[in-house]
Amino acid sequence: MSRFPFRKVIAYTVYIILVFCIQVSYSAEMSIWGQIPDLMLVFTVLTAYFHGFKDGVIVGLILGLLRDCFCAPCVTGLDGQLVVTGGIGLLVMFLAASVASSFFTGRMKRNVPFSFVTVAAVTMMYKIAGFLLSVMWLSLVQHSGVPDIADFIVRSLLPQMGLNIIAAIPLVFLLIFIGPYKRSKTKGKAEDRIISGEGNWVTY
Amino acid sequence: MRKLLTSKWFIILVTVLILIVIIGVGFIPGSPVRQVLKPVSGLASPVQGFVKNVGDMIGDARSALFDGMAIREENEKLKEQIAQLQYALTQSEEAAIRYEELKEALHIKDTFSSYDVYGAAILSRDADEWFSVIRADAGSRDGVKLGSGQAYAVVDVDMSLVGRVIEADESNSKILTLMHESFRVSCKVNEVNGAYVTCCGDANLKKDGLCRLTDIDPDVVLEEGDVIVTSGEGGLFPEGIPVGTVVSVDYSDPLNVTATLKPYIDVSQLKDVFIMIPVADDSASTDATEQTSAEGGVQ
Repeated sequence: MSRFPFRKVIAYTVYIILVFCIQVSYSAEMSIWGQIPDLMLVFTVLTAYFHGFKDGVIVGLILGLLRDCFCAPCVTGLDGQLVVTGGIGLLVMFLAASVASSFFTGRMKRNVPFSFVTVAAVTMMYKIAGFLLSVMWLSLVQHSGVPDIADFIVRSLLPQMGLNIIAAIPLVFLLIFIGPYKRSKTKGKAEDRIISGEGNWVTY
Repeated sequence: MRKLLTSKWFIILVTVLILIVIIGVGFIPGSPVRQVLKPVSGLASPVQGFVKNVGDMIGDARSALFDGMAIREENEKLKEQIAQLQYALTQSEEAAIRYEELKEALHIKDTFSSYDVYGAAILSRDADEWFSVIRADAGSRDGVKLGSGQAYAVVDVDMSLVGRVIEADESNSKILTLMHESFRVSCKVNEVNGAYVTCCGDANLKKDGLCRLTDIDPDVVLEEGDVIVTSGEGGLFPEGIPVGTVVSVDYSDPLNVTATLKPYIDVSQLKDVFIMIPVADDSASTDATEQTSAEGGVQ
């Protein structure tokens, strides 16, 4: 009979509360160049990258749910009324976890430097998807001006990638050195993952 | 078959489809999706409030330690300001007496007399460009009850327009700021017979904390520094709430004159807001009460 993973549950609960509370309470204080580091996205990506699909998806769905509750996107519906959406946070975080858990598997070795590459790549996908959606929405539904691509790259995409990479540094240390798994266990688990086909694992 | 069901990519595909359906259902008016999220919000709010309070306490303690000199200088300036304000107050008292006399004589209505104003603290801010709704700690139990198609104006401590309440649950309300792409409000230039314009959020200008002015009559001359206030048209917002000042005007396309507006508010600095709720028409309610009592008497 397997023991209940208290350490894992407690560590993830504390991290989720901290990450979510800091994100929604102190976004203004963290703002640099008009951009806010997306701690929720970065934490989901790193959890999926270091601790696999299952952990990443669970963390992502919880953070996505909180994101939908506290700062859901608001769009103008087809009837012209404003609608506070539900579920977009869940979808974004789930996809981020799924993509991150599949990064640098197979021939590549998952290590700490590659985690920053993963964060940058997922951030880029997230921002580009958001940009394309906003272009579609603004031009098709609201018939208003479309954001400028160069402006988006210089003033939104690149600063966001930079900030998310910076925000990833403390989170990488948290996930690797403090919890949710003991470092020895992580290595053991990594071997299981390789056998079960999820790809190579963290190499320190 | 079992291999397919346990496949990672199959799980991802199914989950994505389910989430897309949830998002789609969320767009239907009166959808249950928002109702399902409310208990989660109710559970998470106290935790978030606690962490925010701890963070604020740490911030205050740090301020108390390091801001002593700055506070002393600020105190000196404030003392000078108090002296000036005392003088202005004395003059204003006389003007107020004169205004009350004229108000009765000319039947002038107070701009916001038909609104109840509820104070609320900002609980959470926008997470990023997509997730850009802010939350305040006033909900239906505080009197912020939204009906279908309703919205309440939100102002800051200087009575400048912040945005509108778009959703309220029991203890919290969600506010759409005027920089959001979906925000639109009818405005006018703050002068006698000032031109009417529409103020709306713009994806390109949002990052700079600016808004777009559209629907400008090509014959109207807008100038940099013109003050824009709400026009009261449409009935959602009361007339005369300051919105911001004109930064630049683009007359290059005579059929589509636009301008850039610098709002008075700075969303990142907001701590408290005020929600303006129209007071129910007293005369109508009095009539209804009289009618009800009359009907009661007949019975």
